[in-house]
This record gives sequence, structure tokens and C-alpha cells, in this order.
Amino acid sequence: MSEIIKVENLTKRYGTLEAVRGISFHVNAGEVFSLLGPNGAGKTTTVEILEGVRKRTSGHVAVLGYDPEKIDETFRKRVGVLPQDFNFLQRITPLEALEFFIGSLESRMDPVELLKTVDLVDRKDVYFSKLSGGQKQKLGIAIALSNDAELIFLDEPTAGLDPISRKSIQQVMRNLRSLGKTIFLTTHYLEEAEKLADRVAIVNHGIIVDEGTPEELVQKNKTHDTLVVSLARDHATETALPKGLVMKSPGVYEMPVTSNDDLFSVLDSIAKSRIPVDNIYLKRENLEDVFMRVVGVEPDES
Amino acid sequence: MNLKRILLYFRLHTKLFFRTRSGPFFLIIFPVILMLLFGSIFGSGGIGKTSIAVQNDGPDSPYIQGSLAAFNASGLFSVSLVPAGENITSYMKANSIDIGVVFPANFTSSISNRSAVVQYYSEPGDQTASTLQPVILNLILTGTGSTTATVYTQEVSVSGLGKAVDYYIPALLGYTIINGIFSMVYEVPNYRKDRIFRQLSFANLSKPEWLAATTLFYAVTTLISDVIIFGIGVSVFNVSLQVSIPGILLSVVVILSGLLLFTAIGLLAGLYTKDEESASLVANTIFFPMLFLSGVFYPISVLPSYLQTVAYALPLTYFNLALKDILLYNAFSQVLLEIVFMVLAGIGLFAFSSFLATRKQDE
Repeated sequence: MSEIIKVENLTKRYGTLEAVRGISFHVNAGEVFSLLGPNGAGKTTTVEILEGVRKRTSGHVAVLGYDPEKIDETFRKRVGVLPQDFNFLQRITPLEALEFFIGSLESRMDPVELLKTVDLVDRKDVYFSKLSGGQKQKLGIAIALSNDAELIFLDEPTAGLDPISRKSIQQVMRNLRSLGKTIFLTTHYLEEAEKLADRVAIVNHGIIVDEGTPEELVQKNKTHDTLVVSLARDHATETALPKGLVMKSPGVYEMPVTSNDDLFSVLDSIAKSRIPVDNIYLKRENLEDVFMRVVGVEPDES
Repeated sequence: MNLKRILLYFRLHTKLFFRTRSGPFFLIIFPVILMLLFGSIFGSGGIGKTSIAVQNDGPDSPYIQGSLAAFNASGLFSVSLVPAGENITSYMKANSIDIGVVFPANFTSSISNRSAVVQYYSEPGDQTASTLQPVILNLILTGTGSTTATVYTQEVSVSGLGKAVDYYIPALLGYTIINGIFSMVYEVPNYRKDRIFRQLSFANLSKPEWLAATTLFYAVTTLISDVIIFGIGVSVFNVSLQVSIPGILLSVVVILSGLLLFTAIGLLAGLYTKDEESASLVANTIFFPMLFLSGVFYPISVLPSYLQTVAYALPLTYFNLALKDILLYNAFSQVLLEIVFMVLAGIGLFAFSSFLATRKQDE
């Protein structure tokens, strides 16, 4: 698989602050690569260096074979960007914005079709200032697609959006993935990265602390699964439960399970005790649990 | 620099400009208000009484007194009496009076002989003065009470007399030009804050291209405002400027040179302005001293000597001097130097601003 982005020992300093401290990674053609990390981890700085809007302090970066500090007009025609906190001219309409980008980038895309892709065609003549947060982000994505780019940077595309808008934009990203576009996604919604990304790199304090597919990261970093037992209402405080089950809330008990033997043994005990169980399931560790453990902080929700 | 992108952004900028409420107001309505206001105050094109300077070089007589009474009774004129022996041309220039009437020493004896001559002083081509000439003659005849006498006029041309409003036309054009400073001082920090420049860079629109498109936009809108001012001045207030094809072409060159310079000043100021509040402070700090010290509202010669030194350090002074040389005095020799100064200063400031803009992007 060809490497579309290659980063080696990238550093970025702002005065005495070292925002990015020698990170290395690569992104393959056609994959969705996600950079995860808490606020201030260096995600956006890294992305902006790759996009060619910020200079690096040291290291080697190649994006589609270009050094982003020495890009020419062709680079912008091959790369689409949805920046963090996307904003544009307040009195422009989505249709006009797309016509401007398509004209300026000499693209052959149809602006109306692009608006259909992001489900914004009904708002094509509404001023940017009158669009909702989700609609603005959709326009930002449509702009990022206006040059039919092979590589698309999406920096926090769903940040601050309501669940419906978030799901809608996630669907757009799935569509892009199915079109074979290479997507560089930064997000603090771990469930989003887990669902959409082929590979993930977790960055913290300017360094990459782990990297792999979401499944690999979970497998590599998980310590245990959790057995969850919910009792029927009138048995909310059952004392005959097997040892190790700890009450987390009234009627709900949890217990770490590290092996199948442990699991079968507990289930056998519960069955023998004849306690009326309302629900019983095994909660597997996910990317969020791994992230919290690797980074040592709660995923940022700002 | 890609011309297609420049024109694309120019068209977009123009379209969005007309969607603002303030944009069309400052482009069309404000120049109209400005010209009507200045024209009404300083012009004499049929609005209010026309000032006339009257001088009697001979002995006082009932004929002279009758003529003065007829002028006053008509309600058309505001009469200023010029002492005998004083130079009436200088008096008219000093007092911004467009029409002068001199009763010669032999007027009283001549009117008794049924034929007299008065000297009629006015700017060549002043339509108002030409229109009022027969009215004034009729009033003189009425005032003398003679029904059989004839009064002739000996026309005396007074070049460079003009009207007060003529003096203000270049000044008002200068005012529209330095509005570019205000626009840039507000636009640049807002674009930086909202990260519009970054977004435009994704469309391959470079900063120099943005600057070119924006300056082109200000050039077009400023020329529209200036045509409005000039049009109202000529059609309503009958301004008598030195209008010739080379003069008009040279005026356009001066306006564009000034625009380049003042847009560059605005850009530079905008780069050091962080928000709207400081934009207002910076814009007014640059704008008002220039407005009052650069000869916009009164000649630089009336300023104290130390302020005159300051005035000649201000770029608007050179813009005003250039336009006045062309439009008032038809004198082109000095203008080239003033244009060269504005163009070189404008290019220098633009280059410096572009350098700063690129540096600030990575901060």
C-alpha cells in the first residue's frame, strides 16, 4: 500500500513550548487515519503542518510527495481541508461558497451535487451566518470535497454538534470512505474514531503514545472485561451473589473477568443460587477505556 | 498572481459588499449627502443668495444708491461693498465671491447721457455668473430710475477665482480615498480572527491575490463615489473646475495612486490591530489628524509653521495638492512628483505589510 503521508521526527516549538516532540507516523492511500489526543496534545498543530498552513521546527514531512512548506497550486487541488472551527464569510451562501472554491481550484465538481452529498441542498441560498453549527460543518466538508481531493483532512468535524448532526456527518464520512478517499481525521470522540478509522495514533504531550488499528489498540492495552449483572427489582440487594461482584448502583453488580474460566465459574454460581437475574452481559473494553488508560486523562469533551 | 482568481474574489467581494447595509450607504448615499452638504454651504448655484462684490470708483450718487437698493430689494443677492481703490479681484478671491460689479468713475455722468458701462467680473465659464449678468443689468437700470438709458457691461475675466465649493471637490475626493484605511483596519483583524485568510488559502487564493482583489474593489468603489461627487458638483452646484481629458486622466491616476498608498497604510495598521475596538482607535488616530492637517478643509498655509511641517509629512497632503493642481489650477508640472511619491510609498508599504502578514501567520 502506498504511503500518502509520511512524517518523521516532526517537532514544533512556540517559543519555549514544545507542542510536537519528534513524532513519526505514516498514512496509507485509501485509509481513514485518526489522530486522537486530549486538548493541547498537538493534534491540530500536526494537522496544520501537514496542510501547509503552519511551519515545522524540524523533522521531515511528505504529503502526496510534497513538502507542505514548499507547496504549489497543484497541492491545493489534490488536498481537501476542513479546519478546526471552520468559518467563512458571513453573508455568503453555501452555493456561492462552493462556486468560488470550484472556480478558484479549477475543479469540475458540480456545486449542487456536492450540496446533495452533504445533505445541504435545501439550504443552498441561506447566508452562512444563518446556518446551524451542523450545517456549517457540512458546508466545510463540501468545500473540502470541492476539488475532488484524493486526501482530505477533517479536523474535529463533529466537535460541538448535537447527536443528530454528528450522526449525519459521520454518515458523510462513511460515504467518503466508500469512495476510496484517504481521510486524516482528528477527533476527540473516541467512539467516532473506533467506528470510522482503519488506523489510530494516540498523541499526548506532543508524542505518539500508541498506534494501530482500533482492535489492535484495544487488544494490546486491555486488562480485563467486565461482567455486569442486573437483578430483578425486589432482589436489589442480594447477599447470596458470588464473591467478587461489587454493587455499582442499586441492583447492578460488576466484576472484572480476566479469563473464560473466571467467567464460567461466576455464571455457574449465579445459576446455582437461583437469584432472579434481570440482565447479564459482558462489557468489553473499548477504545475509550484504552485511551483513558494510555493518556491518563478523560477524553476531552470541549 | 493569478488574474482569474483575483477577479473571482473581486466579484465575490463586490457581491457580499452589496449585502451589507453600510456598504451601499457609504458608496452611494454618503457621497451624495457629503456633496449636497458642502455644495449648499460653499456653493452658490441657485441655493440661497448669491454674493456680489460692488465697488464704486466715482462719486456717490442717487444712481449708485438706487442700484444698490435694487440689488438688496431683489432678494437674490448679498451685497459686499468694496472700498474704492481696493483691488476687487483680490477682494473676491479672499471672500470667495463669484461676481463683482464696478461702477466706473464716469458712471453717474454717463447714465445722465443715457449710456453707461459697468465692469462685470466673473470666472470664465461660470454659468451662474453668465445667467445673472442680464438680471444685474436690469436691476441697475431699475435702480437708476432711468427708462431711456442703456447700460452695457464690460466683462472682466478673473481666472482662478472659482467658488468655495470648487476648493472642496478635491478634498471630498480625498475623503473617499482615505475611507480605504477604515475598511482595511476593520477587515484585516476580522479576517484574521475568523481565520478567513486560512480558508481562502485552501482555495489557492494567496495573500497578494487577496490584496490585489481587495484593492481593485476599493478602486472601483472609490471611483464610483468620486464620479457621484463630481457629477453632483457639476450638475447641481455648477462647480467650475479645470476639466480637460488629460486632467481627468491624470486625476484618475492620482486617485488610484492615493488608493494604493492609503490601502497599504490601512493594511499595515490592520495587521497590528487585534479586534474591532482597537481597530476603531487605530483608524481614527490615523484618519482625523490627516483630515484636519492635510489641507482638506482649509489651506495648509493657515496652519502654524510647526503644523505645516507635520502636514507635509502626511501622505494625504500630497494627494490633495496633486488634485488641486490638476482640477483648480490646471497645473500638471508638480503632479508627477506627487504621484511618484504616492506610488513608491504605496508599493513599499504593501511589500512590508505582505512580509509582516506572512510572518504573523505562523505566530
